[in-house]
Amino acid sequence: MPEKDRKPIVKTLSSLEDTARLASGFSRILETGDVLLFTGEIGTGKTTFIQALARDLGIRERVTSPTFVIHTIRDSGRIPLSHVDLYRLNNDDEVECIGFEEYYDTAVTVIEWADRYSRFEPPYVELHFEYGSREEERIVSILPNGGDWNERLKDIL
Amino acid sequence: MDKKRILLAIESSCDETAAAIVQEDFTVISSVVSSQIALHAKWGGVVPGIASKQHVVAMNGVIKECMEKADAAPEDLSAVAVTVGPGLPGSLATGISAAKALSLAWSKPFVAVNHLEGHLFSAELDGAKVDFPAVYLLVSGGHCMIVYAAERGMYKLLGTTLDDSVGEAYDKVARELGFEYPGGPIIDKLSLQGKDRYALPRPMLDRGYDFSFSGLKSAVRREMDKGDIVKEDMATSFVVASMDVLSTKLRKAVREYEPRSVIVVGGVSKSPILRSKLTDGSLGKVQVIFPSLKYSTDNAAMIGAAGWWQFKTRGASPDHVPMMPTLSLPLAERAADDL
Ligand SMILES: Nc1ncnc2c1ncn2[C@@H]1O[C@H](COP(=O)(O)OP(=O)(O)OP(=O)(O)O)[C@@H](O)[C@H]1O
Ligand SMILES: [Mg+2]
Repeated sequence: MPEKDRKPIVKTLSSLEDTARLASGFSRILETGDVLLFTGEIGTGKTTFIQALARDLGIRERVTSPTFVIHTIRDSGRIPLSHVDLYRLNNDDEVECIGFEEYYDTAVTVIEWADRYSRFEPPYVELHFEYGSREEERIVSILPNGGDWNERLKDIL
Repeated sequence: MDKKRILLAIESSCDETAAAIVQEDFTVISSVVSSQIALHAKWGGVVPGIASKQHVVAMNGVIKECMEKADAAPEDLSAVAVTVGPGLPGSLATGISAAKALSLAWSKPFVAVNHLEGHLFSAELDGAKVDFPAVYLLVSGGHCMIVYAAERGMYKLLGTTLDDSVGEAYDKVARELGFEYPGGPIIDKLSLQGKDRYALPRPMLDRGYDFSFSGLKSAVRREMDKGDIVKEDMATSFVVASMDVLSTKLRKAVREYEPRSVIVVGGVSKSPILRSKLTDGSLGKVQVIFPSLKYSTDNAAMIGAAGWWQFKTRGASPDHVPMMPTLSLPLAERAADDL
């Protein structure tokens, strides 16, 4: 579907609890092979969302920001979580050197700063985070792209 | 001539490809780090800034150069040590494969080293003396933790970051202020010219030994969204807030554990502001030790020291050791609050 025909679902997250609740919804429907792309400026809550998601997937280890290490795999939960952060990368070629696509088929892949790479292929869901008007408020735009994501998201949004 | 034993150490856990020859008393005979040499000129081709492929390109040249500089032949080595984690899977694999291949080809013991433990040993290189018990602060781009060691190698994790490392916060704030990544050192410098006038949070200041720096980053961003800011003043406010958190936690650890040394390691330990803040007497009479600047950031010399320690206390590692991207520090004792 062309970009302009797709409409994002926009949600206001008024607190950390709201963010955790949304993540919890995702944790219920995620399956091996799913890809979530995260965009939005620094400090808008991408990692915070993924931490809540990891907890609800049953991951025991502490999930921290992978900006420096770029890619981590956590496999103590219901499904392995492949957590990627492209913040430090500058172009498609650098991104393709990391090798996180090896884990697409065996994990849920969540990618922060996904707009640093131009060659992601659907199906995926894009979650774009923005600051809201108050300190703990965030606005998230959720854009399903391809596969049966439209159907699957209906149950949790 | 009384010749001390030497080993070859290899490190490729993140950005740096590095190799070193280290003596059993932790004297560094040679230490080569890829970013510190003109890779392009030396081995040709385009080497991307950050990529696991870079390790493949650089590995043999770095090992050769460190062997040549030390005038060491394979038969002079007592072991081959390598970082097996934590780190980026694709990057770790290159160093581990090289080390395993060399240990096999040269029939030398293989020693698997924890990168975090390597950092802790960086302050003991080249004859620097450390007294135990010690409290370590490891602050780098990827890590932020306080560790207590009753004696060398006996670690108790007091606290870690819940989200970002302090180095990451530095680099991200620098980028927001318009400086190229990694701009941590620029923020430090800029902060000397500004005033502490933006009210930034000090998350988790009074809550145990864990850190949280993500809120600081958001606070800077939100302040900038409100309108024009003075970069120098923002740098100062940020540095003051970060240093406040680090030194408060260290003071608490010194009071509670009464160590003989405080050892500050990792890339951020290069910061002149952190160094002066922690040596201004506010930690009391304890000796405060920093590694020499070249061993603060990732290098293989520290892996060599940790490798020697491990080789002597626990022997060689089994050949089948896997790579361990999420490896944590081996603990002798768990902190009471995570039981
Ligand atoms: N409703 C909310 N949802 C998410 N985070 C929130 C919310 N309210 C406040 N915060 C705070 O905002 C910060 C978000 O930081 P986080 O590291 O998660 O952002 P990020 O988008 O991953 O940043 P980066 O681009 O650096 O990776 C945290 O300190 C978090 O506690
Ligand atoms: Mg993040």
